[in-house]
Order: sequence, then structure tokens, then C-alpha cells
Amino acid sequence: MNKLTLTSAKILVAAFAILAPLRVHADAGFVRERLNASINQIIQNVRETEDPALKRQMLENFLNRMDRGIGMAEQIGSKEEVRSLEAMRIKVQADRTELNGLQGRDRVADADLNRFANYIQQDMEQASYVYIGTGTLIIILLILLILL
Amino acid sequence: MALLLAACAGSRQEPDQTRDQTSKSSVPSDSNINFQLIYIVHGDADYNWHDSTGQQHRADAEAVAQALDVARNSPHSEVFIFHQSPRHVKWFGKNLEGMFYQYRHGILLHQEPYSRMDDSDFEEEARLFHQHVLSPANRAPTRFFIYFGHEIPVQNGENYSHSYPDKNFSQADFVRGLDRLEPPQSTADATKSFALAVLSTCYGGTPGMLTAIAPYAQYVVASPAYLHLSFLDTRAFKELDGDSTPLDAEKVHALADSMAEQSFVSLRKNTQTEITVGVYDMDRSSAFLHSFAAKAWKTASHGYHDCAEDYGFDSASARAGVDLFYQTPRFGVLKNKQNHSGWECPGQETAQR
Repeated sequence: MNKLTLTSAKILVAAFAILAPLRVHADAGFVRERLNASINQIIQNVRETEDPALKRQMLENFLNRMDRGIGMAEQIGSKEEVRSLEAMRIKVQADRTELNGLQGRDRVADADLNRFANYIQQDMEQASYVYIGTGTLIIILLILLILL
Repeated sequence: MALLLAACAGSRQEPDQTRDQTSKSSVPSDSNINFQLIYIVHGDADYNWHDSTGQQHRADAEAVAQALDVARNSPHSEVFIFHQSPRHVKWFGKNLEGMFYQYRHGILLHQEPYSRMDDSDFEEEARLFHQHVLSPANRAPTRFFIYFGHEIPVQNGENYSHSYPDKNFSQADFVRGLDRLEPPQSTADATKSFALAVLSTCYGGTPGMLTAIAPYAQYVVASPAYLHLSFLDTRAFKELDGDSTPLDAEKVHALADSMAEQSFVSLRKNTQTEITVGVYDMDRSSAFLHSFAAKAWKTASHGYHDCAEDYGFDSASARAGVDLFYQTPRFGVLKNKQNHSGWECPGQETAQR
């Protein structure tokens, strides 16, 4: 990410860090829907890519972005939200470890990358965001949108 | 930001209000009602999911469609369906927070929007149920309860319904709701309100949740772990015939098994994550549940996990009364886990939620 984009992201995150405590819930459903749609777009891009090395790189970028977004969101989340965010983050990090075959884990085979992408998406959709408020989700969404 | 918000402005599907407005005069005799089904579908949260082709699905809308299919094809049943929707949905220009349907003999008798106010324990649903339920003079129908939603929090549970983010919804609220849906007439011969309860949620098959439900249901179909948002399949209710009522335990058990198997087969078609669908005989499971409560279970885990991992787990009593359909996850730390006890326990932090 270039410096300008990073600065813009930080400004947006800061803006939402201010707005989040105001608890603007009117668009809660839309934000969640948009976040799921963004994840879906990324996963579809992975599926449509033929080169396994590129697929792996795209998944790596996605997981890194999620990790970073969740980490930023944790800074403004309530105690309840931080618990859920931390559980999400642990999963994201575990997925990245498995993708790359780190820490003694089997590396995801090239032929399994599409199925692995499905797995990541299903895991995230099932995990839902029951305990995570709108303002917090917006931060994750913003970080993901930069990736698209 | 304006662009982002504009992109977020999706459209909501309006309930179909043109179908099934059949004349009530064509409703057959009430004496043939042998079964009563109560569906509650929570839709006031994020229920979007995508299949492997990228197609978007709305889990709550599909659950309602499934319930309507059962209702229209159950000639010996009375079916109540409550769809809890986000507050801002409009129906004929009017705000609504839920849609209520009542079918009898497969025929729609009522379809109306309702307000959930700020209750979280099915108060409004119970009011509508008791207002419209048929009270057979000489016999009680066999009753079933079905809930579709996200994991029901052990406690607290803020933000479960996005229209009421500050309102708690927990297992205690859920059980109070079951209590409100007790049958209207005294059923001295029936020990429990429901022959079968179906919990189409994540983490329904936990000792805590099932202990709470035990006084109300003879059998429970639930997922002890994650459940994909394509949910459980309850269409086996359509197979109920009108010959016998109340259903004996053996038939209820067979129905529960059939439902669990159909759900499992459907889920495994395109699910890469873990699948666990259990059938719990609540009488036979009581010894395990009592031992669980008495031991004040100790766990080193932080999140939900198979209870078999905990010290002191009694595998013999845990197996009694539980039939489990299990698929190991295709990836992740559990990909080599070959079996599951059928019971999922909350970790130290999960239990505080």
C-alpha cells in the first residue's frame, strides 16, 4: 500500500473511531451485508485466478488485511466486542499459518486452494458478528475495501 | 463515503402478501388437527451467506420459505410462523418488526405484521399464538418448536437483534419464551410442552442449553458446534400423517433422526467447515446433564470445544441418548479430528458472554 493510501485509511479509521461511540445503528444490516459482499468478491477473485502462486498471494493479502482490520477495530471495541474480535483474529492467523504451512502445519496444496478459500469464507460467515457493533465492523470493511 | 453508503443501500424483499388468501370457509374440520408447529425465525441480524458460486443467500428468508413449505403441505397440522425482521422493514408503508403466519390444514388463516416492541423473550409471539391457537376440545396435538437464528448467548448477549442493540438476548430469555408458548389447555398427561424442539443455531447442543430446554422438550435436534447458515432442514415434518396422535416416543425419535440426517446430507454438499448435527433424547441424556451441572465443569479452553477434551468428562454417560452426524472440517486445526462426543462446552470466556 502506498503512503497516501495508508494515510487516507488512517484518517478514515480515525473518523470512525470518533463516530463509533455515537452508536449509529441505522445502517447496521447494510454494513454487515457490504462486508460479506466484499469478502465474497475477494474469494471469487481467488477462485477465478488460475495461477496457484497468485491465488496464494491473494489469500495471503486478504488474511493480512483482515488481521490488520480486526486489530484496528479492537482499539475502539467494547469489552464484549474485543472478545469476539480476538476470536476472529485467532482464526484468521490460524488460516494464514495453514495457508503457508508454518508452525508445523501442512501447507495447503495448490489443488486445494479454491476449497480452502471456500472454507475461509464459510468460517467467517458462520462466525457472524453477533457481538460486534456497526462502527467496529466499518473499520474492518474499510481495510478490506482498499484491497478490492 | 457517500459512495460507500450508496453502495450499501440494498433492497429488502417484501413479504409475499398475495398468496394463500384462501377462504377460511374452506378450512376442514378442526378435529383433524394432530400436530402443532411453532417456528420462530430470527432475521434481525446478519444472515447473508454466499455459496461456492458466489451467489448470495439470505438465511432467514430461506428458513421462512422452508417453514411455509411445511405449513402448506401439512394437512393435519396447525403451523405458526414468526419471522423477526429488522425494525426498518416496511410493509404497506408501515413499520414492522416481524411477520406472523398461521396455517391450519395447509391453509393460510392469518398473515399480519407485528411489532416485537423491545421484548426479547417472545412475549409478542406468545400473545399472537394464544390469541389464534385452536384449542381442541377433547385432545391435545403433538407439539413441535423450531428456532432459526444465530448462537443464543449463554448470558448477556447484547446486539443479538440489531434493531435493539442494547437489549440482551440470552439462553434464559429463550427459555422464558418457551415457557410463554406452553399449550393453552391443561395437558395433565403430557409431561413436556414439546415432543421435539429443533434448534437451528450454532452451539445449540451444549450441556447448558440443553439443560435449560430439558423441562420443555422430549427430543432436541441441534448442532453442538458451528452450523452453516444454510441451516437445518425441517421438511421431514411434511411426512407426518394424521393416523396417530399423540405421536409415541419412538415415532418422534424417528422423525428427529430423519430430520437430522436430511440436514446433514444437505449441509455436506458444499460445506468445507465442520458439521455436527445431533439428536438428543432428553430423558436418556439427563444423567450426563446432571453430572455436568454437579461437577461445575473445569476447562482450560478459551472458546467452544468438544466437551470430551475436558478433564472429568464421562464419555459413557455422554453417549447415552445422543445420535450424532459428524463431518470433520476439511481444513483447520480440527481437520484430523475423527469423531465428536456430541457435546460442545463453552470455554472460560465464552461462558461469561
